Amino acid sequence: MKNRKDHNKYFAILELSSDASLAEIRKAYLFLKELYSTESIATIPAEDEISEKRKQEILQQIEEAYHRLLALFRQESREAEQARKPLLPDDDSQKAASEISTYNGATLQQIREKLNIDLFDIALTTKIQARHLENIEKENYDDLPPEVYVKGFIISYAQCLSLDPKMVANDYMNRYHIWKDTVTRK
Amino acid sequence: MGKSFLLSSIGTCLAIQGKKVVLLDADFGGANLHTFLGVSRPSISLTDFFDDKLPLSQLIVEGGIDNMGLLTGAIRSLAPDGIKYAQKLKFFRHIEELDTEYVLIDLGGGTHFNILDTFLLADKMIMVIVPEIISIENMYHFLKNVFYRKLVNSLSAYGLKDVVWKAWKNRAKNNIINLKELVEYLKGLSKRIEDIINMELSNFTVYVILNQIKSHQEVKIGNYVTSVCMKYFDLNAQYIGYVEYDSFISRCINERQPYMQANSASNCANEIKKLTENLLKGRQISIKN
Repeated sequence: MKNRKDHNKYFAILELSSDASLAEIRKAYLFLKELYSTESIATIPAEDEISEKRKQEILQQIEEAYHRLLALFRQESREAEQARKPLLPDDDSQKAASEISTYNGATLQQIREKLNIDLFDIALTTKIQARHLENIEKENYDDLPPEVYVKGFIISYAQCLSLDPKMVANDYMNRYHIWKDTVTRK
Repeated sequence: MGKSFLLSSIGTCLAIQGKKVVLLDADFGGANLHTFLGVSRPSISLTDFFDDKLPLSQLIVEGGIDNMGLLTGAIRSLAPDGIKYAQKLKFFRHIEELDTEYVLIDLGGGTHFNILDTFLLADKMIMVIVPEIISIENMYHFLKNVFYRKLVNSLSAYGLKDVVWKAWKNRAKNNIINLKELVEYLKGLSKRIEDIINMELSNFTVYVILNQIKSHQEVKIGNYVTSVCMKYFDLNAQYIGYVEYDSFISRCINERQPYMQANSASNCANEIKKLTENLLKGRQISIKN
């Protein structure tokens, strides 16, 4: 938890307490980004208060805070992994993950929804197009790009959900290979 | 904006819970809190305090329900300069000495320093807005004035009486265009001033209530406003609740029926109960909701 203290500043920028979950961080980030990149009845009356430069700084701070906190969660999850105790953002998802014996599209979707994370969120963080992510969850292997990309996508996706990327990729790619074999045999 | 309605309703919530409450009507524009409670205009008022030197505690009348007292401001107001400094201090002292658990003060609009000082007297400074640009603009304006006044008051208390207005008067020369820059400038003057301001900033929180929303979409406007207060003005703001628009409210007022009792199961009443709880427990409506 020491790391969280160092990150207090970033939690504060996203207007969260330092016990916020990954899902809360994402929500706050999207909310604030929208607020400060568009005009609204809350920002227009305060326009004169603030320079264009300062406005850009606020957006940059929000961006930075979000990425620092994502990195923090990844690090926490890595550390927990090393201790052989997979750490997930909350009890529910931990329970969900422990019930999962193999990671396929449906279970990934299930975990993601439990964490209250939009596909759009993941697309934004990983820079993977949302339709690819959707095809990964639906196991529409046919519509996915070449295998080497798919594996990379799975790894990024798993990191976003604070899952063990290696384990998830192995499981997922196993199923993918079985499918590929049947297709080539035909 | 429904400020007096909310104040009397929050007071009712507290009184129903068995807490001793005094509502102080200091709205000079229209001291009419009694109307919301369904009681007739009291014959005694703050005038008797300022003119006839009666103690404040003797001017409290029944507020219509158990545990609730009402102190009305009717004729003389806080705004006219007729109120002397010593009178104001005595008034504040009497408020603090009232034998009650909660004093809820209803303030009129405007940014006269007597209004600002009374606002600053509160342990919990509450602002009511409606989801309209003018209302939000007024709220920012009031907030800036309040904090400016607080800076003046607290630095004066440390013998630095003229520092703030001098800095502001020479703002062009000092390159100050807004409150935030004024604060930065003052902090730069000396370590002592910096310490005082940091202390004042850390103790300064305003609580925001969003009233008369007409759709659930509008709930987040409260989060917008508190975020802007923090990011643009560097002032801490907490969003404690929202209340939806209910046409029944004006009917109740017209018929002199206290809304909270007549409609205790309505959405609006439940939202008021919730925000009263949030206020007591220091909870807020965060973005994550």
